[in-house]
Amino acid sequence: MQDVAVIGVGLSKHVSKRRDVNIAELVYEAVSAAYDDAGVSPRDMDAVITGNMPAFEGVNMPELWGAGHWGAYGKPLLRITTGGTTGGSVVHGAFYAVASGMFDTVIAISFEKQSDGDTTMGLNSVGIADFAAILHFGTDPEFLVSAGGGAIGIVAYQATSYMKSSGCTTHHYDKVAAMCRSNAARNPYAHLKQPDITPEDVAKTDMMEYPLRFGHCCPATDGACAMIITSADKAKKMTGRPAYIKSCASCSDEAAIIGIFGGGPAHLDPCSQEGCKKAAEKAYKLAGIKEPRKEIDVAEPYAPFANQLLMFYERLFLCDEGEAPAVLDSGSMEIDGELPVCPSGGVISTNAIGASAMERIAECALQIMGKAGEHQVNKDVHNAVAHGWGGALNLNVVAVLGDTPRR
Amino acid sequence: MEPGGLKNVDTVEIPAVPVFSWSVGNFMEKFFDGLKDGKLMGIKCPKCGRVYLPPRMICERCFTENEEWVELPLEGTVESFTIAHVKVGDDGELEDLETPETIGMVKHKGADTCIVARIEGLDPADAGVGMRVTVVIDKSAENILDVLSHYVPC
Repeated sequence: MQDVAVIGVGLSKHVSKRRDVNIAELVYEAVSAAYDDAGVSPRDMDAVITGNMPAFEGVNMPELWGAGHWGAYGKPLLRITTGGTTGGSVVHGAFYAVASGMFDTVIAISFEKQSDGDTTMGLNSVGIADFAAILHFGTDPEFLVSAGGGAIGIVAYQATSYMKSSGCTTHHYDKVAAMCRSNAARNPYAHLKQPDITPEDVAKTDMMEYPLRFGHCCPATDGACAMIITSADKAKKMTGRPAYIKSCASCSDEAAIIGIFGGGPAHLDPCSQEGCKKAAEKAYKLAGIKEPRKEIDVAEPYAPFANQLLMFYERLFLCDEGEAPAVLDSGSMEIDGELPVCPSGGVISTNAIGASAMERIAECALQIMGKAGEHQVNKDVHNAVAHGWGGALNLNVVAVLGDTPRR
Repeated sequence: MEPGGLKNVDTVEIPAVPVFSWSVGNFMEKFFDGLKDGKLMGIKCPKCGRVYLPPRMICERCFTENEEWVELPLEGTVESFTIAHVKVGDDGELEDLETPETIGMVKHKGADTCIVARIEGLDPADAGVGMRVTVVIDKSAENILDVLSHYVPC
């Protein structure tokens, strides 16, 4: 197995509606930026790996439309789509391709152009599969509607359970939202930028679904991300400061059925997220990280909703269970804190869904390479952890990146 | 359980109305604007010189951004064709066409790609590869995709 590194990252502009470009053209912005960042061209690529959410744009095989716009002409092309985890899974696919020695250099691409599509319909395509399962248990599908619709209807259960298990209040969710949105204001590729927002401002936004308010929820974004991923040997020759992907690990938990098991897999507690813990354990082990709290310098948990940042911070073993609200109160998660969390602004600020789990990894790479600009954290970044949550609520992906290869 | 032995089978209809609003992008935008002026606009790769019609942002073979717009003649040559006998009706089901229709792949001189459209004003039995046709532009069409209406023999 060969060591793997990131040598280039590219992001498109991220806003709610990109009417000026089509899907292929939007993604080209990120792709060409990644090639430029790494100082390479499609000639240097051995394969192209891409992904976005199934059905969201109503374009069934966008990778075949966009392939040539992204440098895939005449190359192996693979699409990976796993729900909210898609972008993470795409990088995992690129990691496997390079680590195995099958390919030396690949481009990983992920995107979503939500304004072209019908996101509710896209989510319904996931939900409709669940109807079959719900009927299996003898439940009337109308129950699904009363149980809460869309992503928030899933996450609301996690948020309530987490308040019960940690003892935190919605004030902590307000603080998370304000912290992320002000970080986003430093990131030129973020969508919702609110430099001066306060937790009190968030607390005044409309209640969407208890306990989550409008201010706790992510926007719907058009955007794309691309990363050039190569072997460590090549990376050393091509750039002075690559970001090594030390490990990738994912875990498919028991199937979750929306409306029956709430926001989590078939456990009583939707915020337990055992799958995230298993993936994190494996990722740290492969990366040689023994004490994540001491060794991880930046964390990018996947948190489209404010409560998830605290929940996944714990499930990534960055503190004891139930302690994340106190860590938040200590200021440690701030961009200039001890262990900054979502310096990019996180998914709560920018959610081009198919790209979101990749953008967590991309941010870790930028922080390690020292290319994050205004949102570069105020410390040396030796190791960073990126996470994604998705599938049918039951898939977690974790990647550990570092400034040195795996030992 | 014997195959087919399960009796509790229910049919559930789930009403769903997807609404998509695809952006045509910068390049097709100009193509449609050209049509409305009665012009057929293609775009040329600065590296290999291939001319794309309809236009696209990237020359996929060279991975270069196309920039040079080229006005192409309204006449073209049929490179290949088929004859359709059914169409998709308003209810989404196939229905027989009253008279078969000719659909051709038309190459305009100077372009390296073809446009696929209906060829009217001929008996399908007379259609052939190499036939000369002219594009018919309907500037008053309500739907932008109908401005390039069809082709007729020269």
